[in-house]
Amino acid sequence: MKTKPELACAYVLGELDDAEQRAVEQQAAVDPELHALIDDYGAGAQAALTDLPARKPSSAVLAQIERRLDRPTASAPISHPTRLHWAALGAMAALVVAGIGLGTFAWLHHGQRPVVVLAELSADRTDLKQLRMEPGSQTAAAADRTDARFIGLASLAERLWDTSRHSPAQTGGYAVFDPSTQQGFVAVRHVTPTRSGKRYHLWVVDGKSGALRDAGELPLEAANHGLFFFSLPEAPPERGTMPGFFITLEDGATPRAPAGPVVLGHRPF
Amino acid sequence: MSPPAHQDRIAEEAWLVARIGAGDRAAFRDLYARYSPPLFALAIRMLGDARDAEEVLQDIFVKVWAHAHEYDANVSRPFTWAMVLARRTCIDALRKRQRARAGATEDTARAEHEDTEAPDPSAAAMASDDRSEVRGALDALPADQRRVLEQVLFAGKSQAEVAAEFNYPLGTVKSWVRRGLMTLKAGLNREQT
Repeated sequence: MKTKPELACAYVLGELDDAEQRAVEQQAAVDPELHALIDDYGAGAQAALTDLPARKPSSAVLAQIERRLDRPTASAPISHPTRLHWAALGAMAALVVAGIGLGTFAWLHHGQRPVVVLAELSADRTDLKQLRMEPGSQTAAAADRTDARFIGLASLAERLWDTSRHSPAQTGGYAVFDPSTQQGFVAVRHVTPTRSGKRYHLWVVDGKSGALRDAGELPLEAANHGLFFFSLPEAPPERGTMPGFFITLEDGATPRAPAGPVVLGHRPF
Repeated sequence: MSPPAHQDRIAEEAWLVARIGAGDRAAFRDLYARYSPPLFALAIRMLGDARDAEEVLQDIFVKVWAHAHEYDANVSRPFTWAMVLARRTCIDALRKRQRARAGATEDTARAEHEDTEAPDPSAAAMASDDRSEVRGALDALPADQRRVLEQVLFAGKSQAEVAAEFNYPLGTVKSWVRRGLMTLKAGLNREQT
């Protein structure tokens, strides 16, 4: 039987067969020691690559890859949820909250499974881009600290905001949402500045019932981008369901229901 | 502890992989721009031929696209995930080649290593500083350990194969490889601090 260091090393070297690799991944996801060993050996192997003469593939290679991806047989990963690690999120947040003294990057923990919903918003609204984030076990101790959850959520939103500066100049955005506290942040970029009397308005769709919830106006004024906090009235979150988000352009006063055109969303409406 | 810039890059890359998992082609191109030079260098070193390496590089990134949604950073850093995927793809290609050449005297990948493409000067310049530290760490290893590590890392051989080839106990080889990886990691960390 292999020890943890042996398993981690064999994993990094690509020596395991498919079943063994899956088993190690499953174990590493819940075993910080194994995860740390993979991290260490992976960094060592990565360092070895820096010792190789740097090479760049010909420019045709990317085009060939993309042609393969466009074939009907190529895998299309869109419908799959993607998991990010707490460490990755924590790294994002740590850059922002450094100095606040948040020892653990604490997130929501509703029911058995902590979840932060991250939805990418696009202008065509036909492309489902929704990411589910699952924290590691180290977050459990602080999971009930609402203030820590809020700071973590804000930090993630802000970090993503910085990262998205490098995105192509097209209308888009994202929403990060904590179903446990019913708080979130929504970011928009490259939207058309509103004319007099028009307002952008955020709506949240309950993942199970489909009920619409008013998340408020986006006070963009004359700007074409912004990052905004929103909070919904307390409501028991439905476990295992993912909310939807969309932004409409409304006339004047606060609407009771969306009446204007949908500008951004993450699912067809 | 890794410096913030390093953590920032890991976080950005984890975010890119997540976006690829959601079908974002722009994120895919971004990750390709970051990862293709080192993974291409790895493929050339393991396969010994730039043309073969480009074909394998295609396979690697098609797999990155197809499996990005499975990436779980609870398991590894984004680059480690991609590197494991690349190594497995290279090892598969080597085995396929060995099967195709069965019965023939095989000229090893090392002999074919001199390929025709010129190095990319900008990438080489970017890597040069790291290489000096890592090379120093590698050179500091005892000769036997260094040889074993290079065989395992770049010749596509398993630790068991290297143990048999050089007549070392398997446990010794495994221990040397792990120690060597930790030494290299320390060299890289020194460079980054």
